[in-house]
Amino acid sequence: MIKSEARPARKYSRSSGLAMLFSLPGLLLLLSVVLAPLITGFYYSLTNSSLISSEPTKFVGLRNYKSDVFTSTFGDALKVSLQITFFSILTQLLAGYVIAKVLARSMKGTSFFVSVIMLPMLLTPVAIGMMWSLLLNPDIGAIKWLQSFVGLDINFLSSSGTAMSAIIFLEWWGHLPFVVLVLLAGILNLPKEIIESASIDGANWWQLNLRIIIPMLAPVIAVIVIIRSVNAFRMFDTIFVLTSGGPGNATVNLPFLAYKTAFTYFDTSRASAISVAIVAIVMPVYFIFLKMTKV
Amino acid sequence: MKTSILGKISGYILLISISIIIIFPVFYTLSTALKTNAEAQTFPPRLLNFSPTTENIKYLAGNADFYEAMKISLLVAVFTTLVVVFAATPLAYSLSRMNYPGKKLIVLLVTLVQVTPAIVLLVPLFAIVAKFGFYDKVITQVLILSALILPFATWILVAFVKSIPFELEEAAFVDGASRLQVIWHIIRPLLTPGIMTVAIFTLIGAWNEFLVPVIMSESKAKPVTVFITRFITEKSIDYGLLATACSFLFIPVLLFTIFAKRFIVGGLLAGSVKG
Repeated sequence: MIKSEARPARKYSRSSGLAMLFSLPGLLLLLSVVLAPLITGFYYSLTNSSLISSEPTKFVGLRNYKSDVFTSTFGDALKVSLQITFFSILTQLLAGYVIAKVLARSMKGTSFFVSVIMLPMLLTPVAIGMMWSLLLNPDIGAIKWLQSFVGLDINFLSSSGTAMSAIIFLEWWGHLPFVVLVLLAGILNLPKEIIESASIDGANWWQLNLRIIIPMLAPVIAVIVIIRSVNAFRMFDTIFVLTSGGPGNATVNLPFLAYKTAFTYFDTSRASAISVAIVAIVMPVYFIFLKMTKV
Repeated sequence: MKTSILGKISGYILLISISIIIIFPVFYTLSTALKTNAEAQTFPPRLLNFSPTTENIKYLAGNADFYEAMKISLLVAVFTTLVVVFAATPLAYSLSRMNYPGKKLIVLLVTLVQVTPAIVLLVPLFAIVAKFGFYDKVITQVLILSALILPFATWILVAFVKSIPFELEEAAFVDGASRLQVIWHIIRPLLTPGIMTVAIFTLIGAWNEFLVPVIMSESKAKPVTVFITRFITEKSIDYGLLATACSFLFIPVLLFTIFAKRFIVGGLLAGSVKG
């Protein structure tokens, strides 16, 4: 299908004016909202620019990249970002696979359950975060009440480990639908003959899943991991309302660090240096995306 | 393969437990919206045995600030959807069917937006926006959000355009139709489900957006997502009012989802598996 798009050269030249017209609105948006700020941001990262100081902006070379942000907080924030990404995706794949396998059986009511499972993806993340902060309230929250049935009383937002697990849980909760739906589509597209003949040949449940189904799903799982990594890495809303990065800096991830530096400390130049570093970190994924893109 | 009775039972147990984990916070929000602040703060929480009140709904419905925030949310969502559809549809067609100078640059930029956290762009954009007097304006949010959603919309539409056999267009070209005639009479009708999908995702995405407005708005262009966070920064939180405001965000999306489910599932898969 893709090959058949090649057509006589005459068509290209005659329509390239039209093509440029077609791409113009999108291109203008991208130039003004993406390219211009990227260049400006890179420039800011080399200056002493700040939202509150009245000093004239001047060029300071790499000073921002050598500042204390990079010697201490940046590494911690990177670790938080990577932990959120790794643990939320791992648990989503595990839970998502089991759920998708059950949904693929097409039992009665599957369609209803698909609708329910879709919800988190559609509901306002910041509002969900607000509601969880009520649920996790250490004095009157419903989570305290639920814990009392099993004799626990953990105040999740008070210590760094449990605050991280709360953040990871919300990331898991919010994007589980995506993982379930894509895995479900992948499972439904698998060739049934192979699975059936393997089970006739006496493969047990573990062999069937680990040796046959999951390897066949590898390309789908790869796409999920790539798309989800990008999204989990940029998590912001929930952190903003649930922990504000706390306790201490325990849940400050890279986007939140950039936000705080720019809009709490008003330090545009350092925030820009952090941003440039974030772009450098996501570059490998960028190249993977470009490779996956076929137009 | 036939599923055994035991398999069915364990399957339902799994689906019901996951549904409870998903519905619980939503149910909690909607029920707390119907409680007075005092009743919302009882411990243990009253999940079902409370006396519902419409006090919060009446209060917020009559609150000028909240009304203004709802209006901003709606304006941003609707206009962002219009801009995204009008920019992404021709862009997707040109990317999948035409060759032209600048195409490579567009692909590079579109992909960059997909992988980069938006904050990277928003830090310098804030300075630019402030300098040119565009701070705290609806149009600013609309344009920024449109550019951020554009890549997702474009790839979904590229997948839809590619699913239209080129032979259809070719046959029309042979019959002497012009490129524009082909696009209008052949591509446009076949692309309608794709455009619907993009419109729905954009509408929901812009309605739910928080990062862009929290940076780009102060008072005049503050949507509901930013408005609700102001509840919690005050000394005391009114649980009932907060839950009501959150419900005002959820309910349109919930209602919308009921008729748009087909497009949402289809769009997700077009954007990931096919794309």
